[in-house]
Amino acid sequence: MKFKISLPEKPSHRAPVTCVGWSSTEEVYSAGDDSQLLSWAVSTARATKVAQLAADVYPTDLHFLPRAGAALGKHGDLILITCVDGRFHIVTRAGKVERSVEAHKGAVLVGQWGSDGTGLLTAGEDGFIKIWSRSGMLRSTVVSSENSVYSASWSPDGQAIAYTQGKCLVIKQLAPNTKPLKWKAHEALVLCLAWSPASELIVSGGEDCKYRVWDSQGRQMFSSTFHDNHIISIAWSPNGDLFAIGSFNTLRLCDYSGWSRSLEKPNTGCIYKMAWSTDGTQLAGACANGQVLFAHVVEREVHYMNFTALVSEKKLVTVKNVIDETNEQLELPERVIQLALRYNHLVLTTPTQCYIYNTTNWNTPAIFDLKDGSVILLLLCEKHMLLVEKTTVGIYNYQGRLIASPRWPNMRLDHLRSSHITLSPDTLAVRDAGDFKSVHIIDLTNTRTSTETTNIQHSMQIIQISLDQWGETSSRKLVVLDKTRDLYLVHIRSTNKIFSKLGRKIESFQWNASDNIIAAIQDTQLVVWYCPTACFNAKLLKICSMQYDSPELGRSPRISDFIGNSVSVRRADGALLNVPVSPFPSLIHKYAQDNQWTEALNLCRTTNNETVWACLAVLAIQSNSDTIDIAEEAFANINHHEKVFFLQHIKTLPNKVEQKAQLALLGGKIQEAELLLLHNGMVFQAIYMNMNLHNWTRALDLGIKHKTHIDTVLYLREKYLDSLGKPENNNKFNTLRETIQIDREKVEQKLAMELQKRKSSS
Amino acid sequence: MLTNSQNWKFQIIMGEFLGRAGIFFDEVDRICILEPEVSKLTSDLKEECQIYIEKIDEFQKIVNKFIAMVDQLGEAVERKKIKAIGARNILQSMEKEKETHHHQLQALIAEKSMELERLKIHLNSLQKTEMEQNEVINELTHC
Repeated sequence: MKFKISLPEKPSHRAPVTCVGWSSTEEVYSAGDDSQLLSWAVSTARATKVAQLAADVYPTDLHFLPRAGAALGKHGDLILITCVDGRFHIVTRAGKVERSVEAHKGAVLVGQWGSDGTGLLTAGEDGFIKIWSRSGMLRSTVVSSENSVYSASWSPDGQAIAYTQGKCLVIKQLAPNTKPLKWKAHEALVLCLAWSPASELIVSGGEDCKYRVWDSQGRQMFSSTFHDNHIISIAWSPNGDLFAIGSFNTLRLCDYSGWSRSLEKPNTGCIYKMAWSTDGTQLAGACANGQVLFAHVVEREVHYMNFTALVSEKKLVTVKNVIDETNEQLELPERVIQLALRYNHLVLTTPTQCYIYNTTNWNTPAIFDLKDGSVILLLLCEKHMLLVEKTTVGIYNYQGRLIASPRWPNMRLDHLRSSHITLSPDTLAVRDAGDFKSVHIIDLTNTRTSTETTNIQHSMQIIQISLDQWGETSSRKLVVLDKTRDLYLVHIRSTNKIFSKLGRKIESFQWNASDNIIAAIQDTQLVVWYCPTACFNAKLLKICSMQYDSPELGRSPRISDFIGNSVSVRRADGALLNVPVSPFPSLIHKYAQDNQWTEALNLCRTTNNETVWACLAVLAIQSNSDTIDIAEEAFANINHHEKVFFLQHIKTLPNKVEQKAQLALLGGKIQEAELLLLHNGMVFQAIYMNMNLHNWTRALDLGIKHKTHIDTVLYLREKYLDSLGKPENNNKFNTLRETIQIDREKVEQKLAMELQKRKSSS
Repeated sequence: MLTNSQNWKFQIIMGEFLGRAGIFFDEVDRICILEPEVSKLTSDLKEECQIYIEKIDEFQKIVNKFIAMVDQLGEAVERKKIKAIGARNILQSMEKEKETHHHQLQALIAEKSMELERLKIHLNSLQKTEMEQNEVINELTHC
């Protein structure tokens, strides 16, 4: 991935250009020390003069009012221009000055609209940061310091401001009575900073000729090597996956984690300011030699299995098949904005259309028109794909037909990030835009239900969700990463959605593209869970997983992709590592899915690997078919003798239903076991099972519901608490205890009778 | 009538007389107030002055010509000098440009070598993967 730079032959400004901004994806505005406001058509790189500002106006910063949603609002395109003389001007698109406000003593150095467009911040040489309403009324003075504020930025949610102070960076929350977070960021003056619009990352650059990436707690994520000159400008791409660094004769494109993707040395002098177009494919820069620089991101790559697709030019995509070394050139009428390659389909979007290619046929893509013309997100799964535009969400099949338009509560698409939405062949899951603890689940199996959502609540704020891609609809699993970096698994089709923990300190994770296997970075090592459903038992989970701990992973690696039998890990320095994963667990998964247990068993016997046996054991006890013998053999092979004994005990049970229930219990499916028993009228067993699990309240509820054995529950509970020497503290039990008389002997008798009945039915 | 000698005498006497009064006659008997010798000397001086002026004029002309010539030469020298300075500057800036170009290329090389390093690591890991896969295949074919 790199920049392709185009510079107009002659500079259109007579003096250094100080600021640039995008009015649309095709038009750039620039202003310079010659007080001219120029508009550039990007395709031709030709400038037309919009306005000659007053002679004493020396602009320092220019920012277009962000468009909230797709609508422009009644105010139209407003440009905020800040000046050296301490004023800022609000200018219309046509160049008419609407309002001029005296804002600071000395020069105003920063002017930035808030992301919702209702307010703006200015920062000046006098050390003040002020927030203004759109009409130019002073709302508040947020910061007053002694040092000049060279750069400042809103946080993505608009609740905080990051700014520079000498060698330090400061994050100031706007909520009152919060202490600002301040840390030393550079060895010399900090000149520029930018807060990612999509994440918690901040990049800063300074006179020590380095740029650094920070998280919002002030922890350093990356520090660059020395550059030849000061870092003067930084700009984040709108979706937060790239940022650009500007310096003297230097333009660098960096990955969000900091490592440099490419370096260009254009002959422009200093690049004072840069701005990305809203689709994240183009960048404009204001250069000291009076030129305006245009850069286009080319050579974006996507890989899947044996295919590699590369945007080699604006309108040209090259697809390479590495097996037969064939190349395909796909020419498009417009420039490519997004591309995704998965499940044998390549999907491209241009400003107006979406192209779907099948990997078997590159000649006839399915084409359909986009509704709004700007795709925010593109997610692919095996059967269909999700396309999020500015105001609409659509599920399309690979023939290009719209098959569903899912809706969910609190749908705010402009805040949607790829980590907050996940698609599987039958389900869509989205994190709520306001309540970060809840996830909406949308069933896509039929069109009628695609507007109904169920909600799952977690106890912590969720930062990433992901659905498994394979397997039956009824066993669809969602994996949730929360703010404390704990990873949980939840069966979304089960009635009570229990979160079971997979692991802690998870930095990143990913489902396999076609198997129910998870790869994750836990602390500094790579963990692959071959059977995530084994998470009910930590010991089992550990056996059927792979830990890859190697110094070559480096300090903070992250999962880049997980396709087939290899995990691709991105190191902190940008290098990709390929870590092979055992192919057998996925085969076992497939055999189990197709009920070919003997083949699975044969495979295990051939490979004779503990992990594979463990996978088989887990799948066997979680299966609905008759797999006790297989489970027994599998557990015997991983030396879990207690489970073997238990399985043998199950086999002696007289009742088929009870056998199944016990097996389900062994597989950690308590709910299923209880349902099985209740459906077959074995209320006592259900209650007894719950009591054995110390799930007293549930046992009591069952007793009350079925009006039987309430006294048994109460009696056993009492006995249990007595043995521990603890008083009853559950109100439900206390109140019932008062109303119901317990005849000890009678209960003991009843109990004995029930147990006898169980035995005698054999 | 006076005789010639008388006339002569008279003339002398008159001459003396007139001479005392400051009046003289020159050779062509015109009355003048300067003594004839002085007058002659004066006219001689005048002539000589004339000649001198003429000579000086000529000299000035020559000098002017010379000055113009020198000026021209100076100008030419100045032009050459500036040209030389310009050339020297260009040379110097070329050197500098070369240096910055060198720097730029160096930076680009560093970038590429980093990229190369990344690719090497990737290749290494892929080779390792290949090895492991071969191992698995071997295992499966030989059992």
